[in-house]
Amino acid sequence: MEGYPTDQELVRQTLAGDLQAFESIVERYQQAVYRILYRLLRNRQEAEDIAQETFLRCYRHLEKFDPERPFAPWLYRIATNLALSSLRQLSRRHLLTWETCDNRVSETQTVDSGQRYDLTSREGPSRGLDPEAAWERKEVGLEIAGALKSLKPLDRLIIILRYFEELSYDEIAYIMQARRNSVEVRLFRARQKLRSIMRLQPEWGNTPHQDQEGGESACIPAGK
Amino acid sequence: MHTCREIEKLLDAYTDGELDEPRRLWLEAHLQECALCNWLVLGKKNEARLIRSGDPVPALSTGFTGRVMSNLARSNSRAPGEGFFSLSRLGGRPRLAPALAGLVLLLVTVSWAASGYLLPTSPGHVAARQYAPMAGQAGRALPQTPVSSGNDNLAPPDNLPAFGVHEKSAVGENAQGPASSKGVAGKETAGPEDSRATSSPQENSVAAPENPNPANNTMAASGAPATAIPAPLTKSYQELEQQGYTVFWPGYLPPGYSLSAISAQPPQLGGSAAQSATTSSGQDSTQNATMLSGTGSLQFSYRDAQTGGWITLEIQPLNTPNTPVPQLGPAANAAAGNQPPGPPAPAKTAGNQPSGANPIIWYAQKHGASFMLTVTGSLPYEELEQVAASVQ
Repeated sequence: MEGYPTDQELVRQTLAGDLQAFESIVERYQQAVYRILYRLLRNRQEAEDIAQETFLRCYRHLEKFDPERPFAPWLYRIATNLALSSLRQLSRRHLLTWETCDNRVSETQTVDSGQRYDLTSREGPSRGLDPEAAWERKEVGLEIAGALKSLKPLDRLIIILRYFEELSYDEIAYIMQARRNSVEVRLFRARQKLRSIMRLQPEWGNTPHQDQEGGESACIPAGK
Repeated sequence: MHTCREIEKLLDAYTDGELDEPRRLWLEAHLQECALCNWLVLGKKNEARLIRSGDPVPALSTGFTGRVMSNLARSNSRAPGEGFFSLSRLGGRPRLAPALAGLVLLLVTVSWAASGYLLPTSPGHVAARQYAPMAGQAGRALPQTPVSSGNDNLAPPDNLPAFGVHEKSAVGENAQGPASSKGVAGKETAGPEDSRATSSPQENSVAAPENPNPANNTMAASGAPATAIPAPLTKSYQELEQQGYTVFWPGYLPPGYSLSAISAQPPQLGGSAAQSATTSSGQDSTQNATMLSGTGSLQFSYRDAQTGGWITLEIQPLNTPNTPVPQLGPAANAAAGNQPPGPPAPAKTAGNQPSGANPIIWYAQKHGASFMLTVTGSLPYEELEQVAASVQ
């Protein structure tokens, strides 16, 4: 396609000396890189700085990119590595364990509104707090941000990559330099923590199954 | 048949679109029959929508692309990997800069300590403390060309520089010394520590040079209850010898005594000139004359800073270099009653009477020349005789 070159084409042109092509790469991915970094670091300026460093490193090491693989995970991998290194340095400076280092969150508030998001009530999601209604509430965003803040950096990162960037497990595994099974396990645990923090209830124990007589193996036929 | 609890474990992967095809088809078949599992799926989808709806991100500041490209243009001239150790990069690693600073500080400290300035017990410091009382003590310098003197200032004489540490291994050489044959009873062995005591603060960094002078070793072997002749003075003797003087020095000094002044009359021209120049001021002396005549006259003054006692050793060359000297050493002279050539020696003063008025005089040969040695001092005769006996 002439009007929308692929990432691989832009990379090839950049390696051939075309800075314009690399500028196109920057414009194409700057928002995504910045979003990931901001949600991970919770600091706008630092997210921008590391985003810049990400693109500079991307340019310097562009010859190491495998054109057979997608470009975005490779770029996100650079960005997340830089961000996680920054968080590690921060934890050292503040004598905190890296896993608990989340003091970058200065633009959000903690989440403890007492609100319970019952998404799986018997009558469906509309019986409890309707997600549609909650969506419109101004504080919902801050609450979710606070919940994300409460997660450990790697849990936060995997939630960001899965929910906000909608990357596949394989892509997440590549970015986090882990195996797919590890990603599944970590994603499961991160979801559990997030649900616990936000008082979401997708777990089995609070589903209508528990109320069914005759045991938990009974299913309610669809349409009843 | 799978239960809904087992189905639920797959719902996250299903909503994420990560289930493989067979399990996805099987699960969708179950969902068509189970309303509760449908609600669970709906709940998870709503959960995902809720999460994605939250956590707004502030807008990226304008001009981001331009800043990236301008930074890229600045660094574009660098090859990949270049600039890895740039200052900004070092600054971004909080542990690296302190580590480097610490390393530099360690190197500086080690090098400084190796130079001896940080060692409080280093020979130089001890020597400086021990040397201070000697300064200012008036030596009985002869009105001749001073070679060195500690009379005028607190600094040690320039030609008394070297500090040497006695090596115990050199003790075995002591038997060769003429004074050692006297066999002053060895009560103690003057070890290296003793020889450090009155050493010069100069050449602090010299690390224990071997003392080539057998006189000190003689002292160490004889073990007289006295202050060992410090090594720098020994070196000074050696320097005098290098300048053409024939030097005799005492291997033993009473405790507290140390060299305070050296007066030297430079060697005179040989032949008849030397005959008439034994008492001259040495103004016409040259190095060539030194070579011709062989030696000049010397006087060493030793002082005890606390008691004010003094000892002088005068070395007067005789102008008949080949004149045989019957015996060496004052004791031998006294025992045999020999009258050596040259000036007549006064009779020795017996007893403990101070020998200042009755010097001990004897004759000795060295390097083929004959010398008249005179030891005087404020000490009793017996002690002074020990000093004279140790002279070699």
